[in-house]
Amino acid sequence: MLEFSLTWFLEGFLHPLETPSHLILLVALGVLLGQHASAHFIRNILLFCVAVITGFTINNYFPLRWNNELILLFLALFVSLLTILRLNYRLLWVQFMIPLLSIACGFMLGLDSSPIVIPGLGADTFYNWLLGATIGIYSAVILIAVISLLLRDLFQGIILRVLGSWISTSSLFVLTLLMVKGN
Amino acid sequence: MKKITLLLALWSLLFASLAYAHFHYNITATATLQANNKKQLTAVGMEWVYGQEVSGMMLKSGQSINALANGIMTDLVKLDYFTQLELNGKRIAIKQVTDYKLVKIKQGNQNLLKLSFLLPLQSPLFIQGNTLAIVHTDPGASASIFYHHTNNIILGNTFKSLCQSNIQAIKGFEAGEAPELVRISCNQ
Repeated sequence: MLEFSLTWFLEGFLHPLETPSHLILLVALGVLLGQHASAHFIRNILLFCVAVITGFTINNYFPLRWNNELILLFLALFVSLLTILRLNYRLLWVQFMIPLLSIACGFMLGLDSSPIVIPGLGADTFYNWLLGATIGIYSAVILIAVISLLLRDLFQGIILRVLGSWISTSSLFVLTLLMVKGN
Repeated sequence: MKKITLLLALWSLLFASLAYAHFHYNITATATLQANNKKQLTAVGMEWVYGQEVSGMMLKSGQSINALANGIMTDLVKLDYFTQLELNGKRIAIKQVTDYKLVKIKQGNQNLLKLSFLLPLQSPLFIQGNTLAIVHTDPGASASIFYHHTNNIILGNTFKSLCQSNIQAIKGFEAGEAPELVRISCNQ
């Protein structure tokens, strides 16, 4: 019988916020979705949520040996560059790109999230952690998207573009460190 | 003004949660080398004493000690028993553990759990003239297994006169990585 455990729930909840590549991508996507909130905001959030669950499932049943951190950071860089460019959401390719990025980001975040397993407490830790991670990822993106939505018209959208440039710099910085470490 | 207050409240909600730290626990280990009549290494006996916090969690999980022991061993199989045995840097194949026991012990005023199990080698090995290393890692980055002192490496009658154990603490080890370098060097 599974029981709710606050310890493992919080572990999962905070996992995306404690992992730099996850946090950078969550902020990048949240800002982009907030900036383009006029174009199917809820649809994009829902696509992201479904993709996270798909990523979790694939990671659990068919773990892929990809360099997830590198992909997450490249995605964050690309997403933040789109924020800086502040493209017109009426453009067909932008309308296509944003849902696609929501799916890709959600999928990669789910794929890179491996639950804590304490031998002997396996099922309890696993499911509570997953529940926490799901809620943590969803709330972070929704929270940041709502904040960005409130800010998107402030000073003609400059604030979000500056934020986008910080995110792209952070992604580039971490990517560089990762590549230096890799060599 | 209302907008700024709302924004600050939302940001603080996001960052306040970061103060919470990732869960770690320690295990204090003892390893005993076992040999056959040909003076070959056949198995390594392990005794792990779980830290107070994780022992408490397991004891409060509502499972009997036997069910808990079975659950631990089932999960440990998937995690390679957190253990890698290496001979001159080459991994030694091990068989599935069948001999294990979990008991409740008291240390001072703490109720702890002690797991004992025998890690059998796929085939017996001569370790004379070689270096055996015991590496403990947790892919989940939660457990850290420490020996602390060479007294916790029991060489047994066969290897006592031939081998010397050495434990070197690894500075700045990451969670889940081996916190110590455990080496047993044996003469011919």
